[in-house]
Amino acid sequence: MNPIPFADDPVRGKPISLAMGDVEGLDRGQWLSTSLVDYVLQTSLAGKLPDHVLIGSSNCSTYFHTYNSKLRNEDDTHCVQQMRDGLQPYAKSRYRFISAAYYDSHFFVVDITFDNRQPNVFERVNVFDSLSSTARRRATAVLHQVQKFLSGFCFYKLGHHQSVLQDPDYIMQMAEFRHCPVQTNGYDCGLFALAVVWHLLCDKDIHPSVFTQADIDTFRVALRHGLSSNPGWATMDNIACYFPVLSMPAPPPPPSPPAIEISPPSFTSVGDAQLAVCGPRSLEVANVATERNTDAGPGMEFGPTEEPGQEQDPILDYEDNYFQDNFSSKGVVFGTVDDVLVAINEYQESSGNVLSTVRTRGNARTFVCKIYRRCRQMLKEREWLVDRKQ
Amino acid sequence: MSDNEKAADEGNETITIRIRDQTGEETFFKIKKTTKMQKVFETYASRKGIQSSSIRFMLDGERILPDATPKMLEMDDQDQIDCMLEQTGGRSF
Repeated sequence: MNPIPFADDPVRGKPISLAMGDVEGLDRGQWLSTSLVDYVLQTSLAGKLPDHVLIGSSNCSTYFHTYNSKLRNEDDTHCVQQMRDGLQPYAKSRYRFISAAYYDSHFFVVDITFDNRQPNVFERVNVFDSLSSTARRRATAVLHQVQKFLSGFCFYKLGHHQSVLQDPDYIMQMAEFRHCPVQTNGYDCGLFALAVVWHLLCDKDIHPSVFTQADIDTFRVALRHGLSSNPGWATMDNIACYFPVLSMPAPPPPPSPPAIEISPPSFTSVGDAQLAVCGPRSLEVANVATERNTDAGPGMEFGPTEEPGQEQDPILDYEDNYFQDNFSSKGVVFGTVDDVLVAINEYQESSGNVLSTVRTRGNARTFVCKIYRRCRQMLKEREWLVDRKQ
Repeated sequence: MSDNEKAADEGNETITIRIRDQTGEETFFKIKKTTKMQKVFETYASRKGIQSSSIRFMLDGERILPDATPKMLEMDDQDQIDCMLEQTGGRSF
């Protein structure tokens, strides 16, 4: 019997359909739906996960609650038995379960490594919540359900260490609430949770400035525009462009890999190789990384951003100079939208590149262009929302 | 009885399935084994006054695709489908 996708794993489960209403949840100020979060996870991660990494549905809290409630209902004996048969493969190895979990109108991330063969069962239980003040209450509700589901289905009659799971609070003793980027509005938690999941899967350290609210703002517009025009837009290559740390090339492998005692492949070695994105933006990434290094304080290190001898992207360099010469350094202020359009036409004619308008806000325009950092500076000075071209 | 007749009989066989929501309330549907589940989902959603895309239907822990039929899912009489509402979230102050 094939294993049942753990917690309705959107990556390994059946295809998820996307309704236009879900995409409209990406409009500014709107809340994301669980189906959109799962759809984006499926599109971005399909075929890229090591076997031991399980992605839970964002609706996993409801899923766990629904099936855990069947454990005490005699009418559901057949269903429970069917599920135990399909879930017990998860008791035979070490797994890492990551979910952008929804609970109580909020998305946050749980990252749990469990192994039924080990005395502690839970090797690591991390919680990343973009609203930390009420994180414990939400996490407690979800983690209790995770433990009950593992104990009642996956590890049923297979657990060598079931005694530790008899304490419903056991998983909370292991839980660590990790510092992560914090949302500054009342609607972006779904995107923050998605971003944390992608950073975890690329084996990036999560710290409060690994990405920012501004990165999420930019990404939100791009995702809305991308999904509207192409439902398959949300690939890791496209996504990584919007998160400076994700778009950094993977560091070179260590000379000798550490010994691995447990049979599944190392997440770091496999996940990095498959998920890290090495684009042609090395110059820009290097700049961003330097800034963040300063912000984060001493001791924070980033991997190499450019291989020795690698040539800079000539188009990037040209555009960077263009914006610097014509806008940022001269302090140009556009009075009307028409002025902006004239500047864009001039730019397009001189560069051969195309800037596209993705939406209008007030009397300013939102543009997609390649120069992320320079336009972010323009945004800061003139309250524009600018995004990179795909 | 020829093989074709047997197949026709199986196709016409009807079963009763139950859809249970998160509150435990059950709704019964009597359908042919070859009926696409999409028809059931849309009828259920219509009765509840919601869109079918806002509900996730699960059988024994696995999501059901709208194109599936009871025959493909190897469903028997009185089998139960669980439905879970899709949610929207942004904050929780």
